[in-house]
Amino acid sequence: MVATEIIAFISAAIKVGYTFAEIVERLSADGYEVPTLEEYEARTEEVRNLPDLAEGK
Amino acid sequence: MDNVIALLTEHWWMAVCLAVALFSIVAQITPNKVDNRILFYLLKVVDFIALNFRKPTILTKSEDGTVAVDFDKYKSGFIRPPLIAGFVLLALLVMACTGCVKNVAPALENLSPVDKAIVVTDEVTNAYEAVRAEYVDLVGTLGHDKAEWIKTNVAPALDEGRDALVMVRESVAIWKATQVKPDEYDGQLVRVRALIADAWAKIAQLTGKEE
Repeated sequence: MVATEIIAFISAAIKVGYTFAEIVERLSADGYEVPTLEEYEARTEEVRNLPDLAEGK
Repeated sequence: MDNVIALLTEHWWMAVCLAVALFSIVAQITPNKVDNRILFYLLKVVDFIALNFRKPTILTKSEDGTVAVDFDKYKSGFIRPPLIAGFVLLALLVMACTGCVKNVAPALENLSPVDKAIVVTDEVTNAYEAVRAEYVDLVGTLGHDKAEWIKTNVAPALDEGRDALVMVRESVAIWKATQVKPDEYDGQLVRVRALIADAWAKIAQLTGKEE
């Protein structure tokens, strides 16, 4: 494995780890703001519209 | 930079154990359920790696709850894949974040069951998007063989994860609108979590591959 790949993996691990830490932090805090049904469904649409990754081969 | 990478590559087991020991000290300074839960899982991961990679057990737990590293037991120059430990550890954090939150998260305590489902699935969505974004970045960075491998093995899991995520979110929206919990919700949530963890674990496998 070359140095650039190692750095890319470390960077990916740190960023994903940071996201997970943020999730834990949010869920550990009081007063979580629950999204409305409209906001929730809008985000569902965003997820639905994510392009296929396998097609990008 | 290359020297640092070489040092980490040679002494990755010590680095992992030191990181866990450091985390145990932080957890001791700011004790809460989440830290203790994460420390519990970190120690399980260390045990798992020690068993599967034939590493010496160099962590010892003291009475005050912190973890110390026994330097005398440490020997360097073992098996090569230095990053797998970190990735496996992070995959486990996915479980901790999305699987155990029902029990440990104060943010959920006063919410109705359907609002809890909204919060949990929204955070699962955040986890999915983080792993997907890193996949996209990695594909552009890797050499040809590894890029092909990751496209063949990880992309389908992420696409399936997206579809499963949409399904579980639709179930929650129906639940919210009708106030009736869909029977399939629990199973769908378990499946999404498994797919995200699977995608991340497959990316982790790549760290041990050679061109």
